[in-house]
Amino acid sequence: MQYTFKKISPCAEYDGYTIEGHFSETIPIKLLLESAKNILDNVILLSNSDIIIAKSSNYEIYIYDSNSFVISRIKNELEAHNLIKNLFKNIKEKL
Amino acid sequence: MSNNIVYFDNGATTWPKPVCIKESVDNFFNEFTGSPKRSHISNDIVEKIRIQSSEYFDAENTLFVPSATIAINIILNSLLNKNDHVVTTNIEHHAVYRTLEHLRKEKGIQYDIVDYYDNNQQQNIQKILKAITDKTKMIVVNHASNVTGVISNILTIRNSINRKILLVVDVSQTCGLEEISLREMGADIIFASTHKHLYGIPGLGFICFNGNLEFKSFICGGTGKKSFLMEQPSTIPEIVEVGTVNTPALLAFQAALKFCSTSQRKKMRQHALYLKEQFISNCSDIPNIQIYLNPDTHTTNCMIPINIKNLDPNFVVAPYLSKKGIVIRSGLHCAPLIHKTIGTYPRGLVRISTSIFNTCDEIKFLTQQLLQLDKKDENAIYI
Repeated sequence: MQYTFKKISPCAEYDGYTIEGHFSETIPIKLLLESAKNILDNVILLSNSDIIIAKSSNYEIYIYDSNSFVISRIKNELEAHNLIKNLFKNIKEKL
Repeated sequence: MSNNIVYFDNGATTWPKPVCIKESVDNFFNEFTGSPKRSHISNDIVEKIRIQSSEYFDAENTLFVPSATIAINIILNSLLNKNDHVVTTNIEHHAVYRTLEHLRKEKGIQYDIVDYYDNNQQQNIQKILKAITDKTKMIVVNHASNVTGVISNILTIRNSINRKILLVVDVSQTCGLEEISLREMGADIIFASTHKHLYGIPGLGFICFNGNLEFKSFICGGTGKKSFLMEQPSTIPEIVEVGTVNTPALLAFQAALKFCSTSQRKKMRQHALYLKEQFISNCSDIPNIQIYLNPDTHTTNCMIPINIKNLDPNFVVAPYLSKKGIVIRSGLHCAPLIHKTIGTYPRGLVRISTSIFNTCDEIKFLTQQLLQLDKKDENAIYI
């Protein structure tokens, strides 16, 4: 599983970096959700929309349709990389 | 609904465009020849549209520019000098704020921003009057906020201030919807783009004004006239209108002035208010919706600013609606200060803005989707 992301400048103001990215393949939403719940706080799935929302004091992550994501309020790009790698680590074991 | 798109971003640019606008642009490809101001036939049409624009807005003169942003840049750069003072408000667009800030740094002008968003018009006027100094040369005010849609009473401002102070009004969100007469409004200058509620196409804005204002060269170049001069001609419109004008957009503007005739404009405004009332009525079923409207919706235009409590407008509500085929605009809308005033800073809100082409069914579809989203928030956590 691979991913790409880039820094974006939203119209609104968010602390830190905002990052928009894509997974190289579609990952089942249930696996994404389960993995997110293992590594992140306050994870919810908007059930009919396939949007996963996870919030912590340091960042917010939004995963859309099993294949794209936004991370906002994150301190730097390295933390964003670590976050996605951790998310994948749990999923790889289940695939 | 067209092509499965439900378009509610008419505050940014209206879509779809009326058939007459499409036909006017086709006319450019089919029949229109020559470069405006360079060939006699083309020049005639530009001057004809100039007169039609001035008549429509009840102004002495019209200048054509590429956008409303460039219009206000020309106005502020031309008419302000070092130490001149400007009063503006918290309902303006960055086209005003960033230009004023640039001129403060580069040219030494001064400006004050007053908290104008208030239901009590008299209090608003007092705030403006309090900010005026003996160096105040200009007041720049938005006719309607591009976030809340609240409409300002420009005539009241005019009647309260010294006649020597230039009153500059951004009519971007009202022209085409409201009756705008420069004279009756009491403004000295109005400016806007033509692609919003006038239903023109992007790439054209205008400055309408009364009196002998000394516009200065902001961008220099060919005008098709006085080519023997090495310097920019100082005459109107050549001092402002440089390069080849956007003829397709001008022809669309001409058709738009006809489309937005007085009777049609009233229907459009009535339709916008009807859809807004329908939306507000439907929203009574959505527990967590927050609507940021003046209680008297008739003093607003077609904007409906909303949020769903605890859902990010940019990363949840907007993508969710987009997935359903609904086009809206989220964020700060290039107008950060009004968001601070209404409590939606720093994340902003979701702006729904209607046009004559929106239907009650589309409003119903939108509110159904918002209801789904709101319901989901209550029972969403599962695995």
